[in-house]
Amino acid sequence: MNLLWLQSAGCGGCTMSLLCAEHPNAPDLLAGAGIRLLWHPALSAAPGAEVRGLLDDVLSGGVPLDILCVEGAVLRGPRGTGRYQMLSGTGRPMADWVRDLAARARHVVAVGTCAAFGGVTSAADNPADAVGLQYEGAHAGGLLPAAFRAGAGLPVINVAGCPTHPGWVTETLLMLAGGVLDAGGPDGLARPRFYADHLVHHACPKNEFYEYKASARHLSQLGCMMEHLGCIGTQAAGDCNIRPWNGEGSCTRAGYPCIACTSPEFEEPRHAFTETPKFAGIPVGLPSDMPKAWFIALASLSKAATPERIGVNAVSDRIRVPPSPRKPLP
Amino acid sequence: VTGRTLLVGPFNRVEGDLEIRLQVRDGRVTAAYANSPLFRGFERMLPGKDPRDALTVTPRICGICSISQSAAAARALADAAGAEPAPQGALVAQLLHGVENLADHVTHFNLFFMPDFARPAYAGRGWRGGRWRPGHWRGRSSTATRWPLLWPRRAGSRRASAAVCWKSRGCR
Repeated sequence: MNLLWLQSAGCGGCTMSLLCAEHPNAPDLLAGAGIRLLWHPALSAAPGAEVRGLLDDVLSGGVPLDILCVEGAVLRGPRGTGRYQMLSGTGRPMADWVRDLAARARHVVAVGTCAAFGGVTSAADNPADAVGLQYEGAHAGGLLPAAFRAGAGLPVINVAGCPTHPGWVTETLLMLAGGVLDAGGPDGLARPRFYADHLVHHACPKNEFYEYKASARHLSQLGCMMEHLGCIGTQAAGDCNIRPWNGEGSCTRAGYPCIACTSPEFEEPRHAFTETPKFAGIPVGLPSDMPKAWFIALASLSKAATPERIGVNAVSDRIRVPPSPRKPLP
Repeated sequence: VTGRTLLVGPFNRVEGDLEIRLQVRDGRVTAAYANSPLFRGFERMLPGKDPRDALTVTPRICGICSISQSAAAARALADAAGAEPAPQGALVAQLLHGVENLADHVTHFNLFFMPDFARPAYAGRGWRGGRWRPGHWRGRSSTATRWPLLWPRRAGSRRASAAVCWKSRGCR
């Protein structure tokens, strides 16, 4: 299968993330899956004229395009011309290239939240009029219309994340190569369900604190970061704590609140990232699928039941009170 | 007398977002223009936001030097607040920045810079496989051999495969 990777308006971080893929690493994985990389702007050797020739061949149908990966949002500005990003050497806006190449591709993959939903590139008042491939924020219909389907029948597959986990990209590519990613594969936001059906909360090492709502008040304290520090891991799609990053890490493991970077419009939470918005002292955003009344009832009960160890450690920057060893049987 | 214009792009290694135009006359470059054909407007994203958000937003300026960006933001915030980092905190911050610096040297050399010199087009150049031959780049450690997929080789040709190794002469 032929894979073409374009980097539009983003930071390149998703490619850097992909290079961290382990077991298998990215080149081994592509080779093993029979995927041939036609061109990648950061990784390939072919420059200028060769690439322009390749792109023309793809557009004319001479070179079949099985997978088009786009990393970064697509810019429509200024005034709908797309000229805020020109594909260098071609005199054409990247938006035009992406639209035309997508029409030729059997599969289109949006790598990262920028490509999927606009992401950070569309933050604030969206100065460059950035948009996702098939979504504008949470709304279907981006550069490509909501009804767009790639050659093989699927919509744009949103491997969202800021950056994406290398495993999310490699698994998606493997599934496409194996022909097993069908219409039931992506979730309601076209993200592959193999990772989007998990919550970042799952396997978070702060879960014991969460159980008792034993909350950290400041960054670098051990407690749960949901109540005060803006963590929305209980609502965020991602298996970050089940499938760690770089072999061992994740945001919450490192003591940083989850900001739901796999979600559309995560870049504009309408409050400080590390501060939980509250109404009458209760966090506005509750865990996914949790009825509010039950949450409040459970939270007050569990807070009252918090063991001293958990309460003290939650507001400490290291474990002050270790678990008590069980008394030996007489 | 012949004059022509050379347009170089998409440019590898910089996300393609660089375009070079050269005017050549009588075999000499008479004018050179560099163009960065991407505007994201990142500078306009933070005004009006909580200052702490800079720590989340600025690393996303660049996926390669994210930590440098956030370290700069952290220092700017500390400066604005008149705050001094705790000594151990300052050390940790410098370690983090140092690790990125180290990783970026490796990335820059192996991924963003040297691969172009290893292109088969340069196989005949004196500097390629000449006297200067770094002995520690043995076998599998060169980008060309570690990233075989990314290197267009002519199938079945030993010679072609030697040509993509930037040590070329005498390495096999």
